[in-house]
Amino acid sequence: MKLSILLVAALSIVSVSNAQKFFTKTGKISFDATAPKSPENIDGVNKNSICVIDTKTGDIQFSVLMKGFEFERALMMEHFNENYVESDKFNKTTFKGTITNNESINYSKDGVYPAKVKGKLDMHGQSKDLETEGKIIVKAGKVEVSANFIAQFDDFKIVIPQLVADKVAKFAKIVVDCTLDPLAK
Amino acid sequence: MKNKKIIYRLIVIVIFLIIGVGLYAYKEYNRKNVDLAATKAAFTLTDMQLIDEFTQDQNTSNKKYLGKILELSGNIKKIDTDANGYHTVILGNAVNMNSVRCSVDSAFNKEAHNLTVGSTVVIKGICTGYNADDLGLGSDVILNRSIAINK
Repeated sequence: MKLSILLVAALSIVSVSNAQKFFTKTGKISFDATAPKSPENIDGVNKNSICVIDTKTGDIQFSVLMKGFEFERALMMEHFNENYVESDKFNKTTFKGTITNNESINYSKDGVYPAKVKGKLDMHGQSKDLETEGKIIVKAGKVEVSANFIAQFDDFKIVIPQLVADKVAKFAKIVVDCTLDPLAK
Repeated sequence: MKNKKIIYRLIVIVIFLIIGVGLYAYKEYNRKNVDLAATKAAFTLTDMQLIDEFTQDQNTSNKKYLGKILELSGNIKKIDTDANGYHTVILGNAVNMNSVRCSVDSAFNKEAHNLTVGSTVVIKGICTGYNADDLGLGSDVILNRSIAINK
């Protein structure tokens, strides 16, 4: 009896301090595709991105619903969804990769760790290898992922019409900002 | 004399056309996102009905609901608040893993403070998609720019 209580207690402590997976369903991913001389900002933000990290293997995954991007102007949102990313056909963008320097990150100790990520970005029906650097911030039992990288529209067959080329750049700067909670099992 | 009159009229028409097109373009360009509080929902249903439809047939439901304004009545299972203070109201049955995640419009963030877990609520929002259960944490239907409406 006593032993089993001890066991349960021990197990629960282990699962709290050593959660293997961290996740969020409210990750923030934003992009900026403003051309250098554009009079207005071309940007949007998605606050419902899913991100999962497996701390043991270093696997990292993102899933973003394209219709979930919010814009300041309604017209911009319509163009984004209908003409550029065609979110009716391709409603999800995913990234699957690994943190290549995972062994140098101590997920149970607070700190800021530089992270290198390598993987595949699937967007607009196209798949493209991606390598970028970011930061993993371990703080009070939570894991923050912060990174930015550039996605070239050509790589994903996203066509920007000549008419708006002075406003919309040929690439998007993408900023990832997610705070992950331990996945309790 | 007659020719002059026609030309004059033509000029007036062209000027009006230019002004009209200009005004329209200006209005379109500055058009804000739809005001959810003032717009009628395309579908009115309960949280569980919506979840069931998506779990049964994702493709049909995507076609039916994506980008549409939905008015959902349901039970508040949980309220998530992120680091910036923005709320996500999670609707669903406490026993069931699946839920509807309604990210609250920043303009209505204050009102969201008054919502309590376990109570019934009517929420209006734009359906942005469905995330199937990849994590073993249940699948979710996502509503964006949600507002709670008093009934």
